[in-house]
Amino acid sequence: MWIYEKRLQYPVNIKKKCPKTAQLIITQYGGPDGELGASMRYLSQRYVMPIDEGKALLTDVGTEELGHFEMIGAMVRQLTRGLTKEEIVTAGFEPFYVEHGLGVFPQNAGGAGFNAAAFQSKGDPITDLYEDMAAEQKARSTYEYLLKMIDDPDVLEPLRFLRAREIVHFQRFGEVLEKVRDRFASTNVFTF
Amino acid sequence: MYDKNMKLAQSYVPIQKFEKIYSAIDSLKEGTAFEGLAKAAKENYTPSSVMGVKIPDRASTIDSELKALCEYGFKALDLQLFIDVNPDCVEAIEKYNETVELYKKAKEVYERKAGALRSFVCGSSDNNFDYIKSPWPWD
Repeated sequence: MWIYEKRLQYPVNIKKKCPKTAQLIITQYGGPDGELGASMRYLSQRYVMPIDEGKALLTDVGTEELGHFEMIGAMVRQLTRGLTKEEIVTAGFEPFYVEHGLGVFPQNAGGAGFNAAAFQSKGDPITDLYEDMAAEQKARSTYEYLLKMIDDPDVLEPLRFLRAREIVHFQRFGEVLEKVRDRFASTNVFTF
Repeated sequence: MYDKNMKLAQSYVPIQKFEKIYSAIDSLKEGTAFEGLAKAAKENYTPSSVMGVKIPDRASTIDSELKALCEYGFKALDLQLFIDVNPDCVEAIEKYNETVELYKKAKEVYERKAGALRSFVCGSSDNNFDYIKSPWPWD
């Protein structure tokens, strides 16, 4: 089970509204390489992971990703709280507004809703770990593109933190890949 | 780079040794407790245009009790991920235990000021019902 702790992993305190920025970073909330997908991927892949190190890592990283999901949600909220009609129209935020008002909805930057088809739980721990490493790289690239498009330091700082986490997770998944491979070197015991 | 133990059609990530770790303050700032991984984040991956982004230190704008809690909590979490993969590393476990103690103290201080952080049985505040009080983390 899970227990909620009422704080963000990394503090978010955005003082300037910006619907345009919200529309970009929301892809890390519900887009194909976003935090929600990351969490669901790892938490779903745990069940066929054959080694304890891997079960623990998928659980703990999957949990951390939920914390990142909350950070991005908080950022979207702070960027859109109290928007006026004029601010919405100027930023081209109307399509989001007519669907969701000023709510926070898991979607990509182009407006497509969250889709579990963006990740896999393949039943093969080696395949899953390769996917996890690729997923961390895709999220890192997304954060780097966001860092290039955004100017507000209050937004940049948490995004840079999140980018660094992708690199740490990549390393850890790589280490577990090594361990799974070592322990099951000769036979394919996973599929049956 | 080719090692005789490596096989074709595999990719390899070097296993990290437990060495230089940051203070809790710097861990949160860098996004990892490990100097080696912070270095990798800076050197191996980032296009120069991203590194050129100047980000002022916002430390003063964040509530100091909350900041301490985030720092110790984060350092403990990053050490935990290392221990997940290296459950026999005594050195890492010692650092982890140390950090968790500091986290617990910071949590008590913060909860006295801001109310309970958790609503469930493990809530450490005398009165868990203050859990519902604003501000919530996104406010």
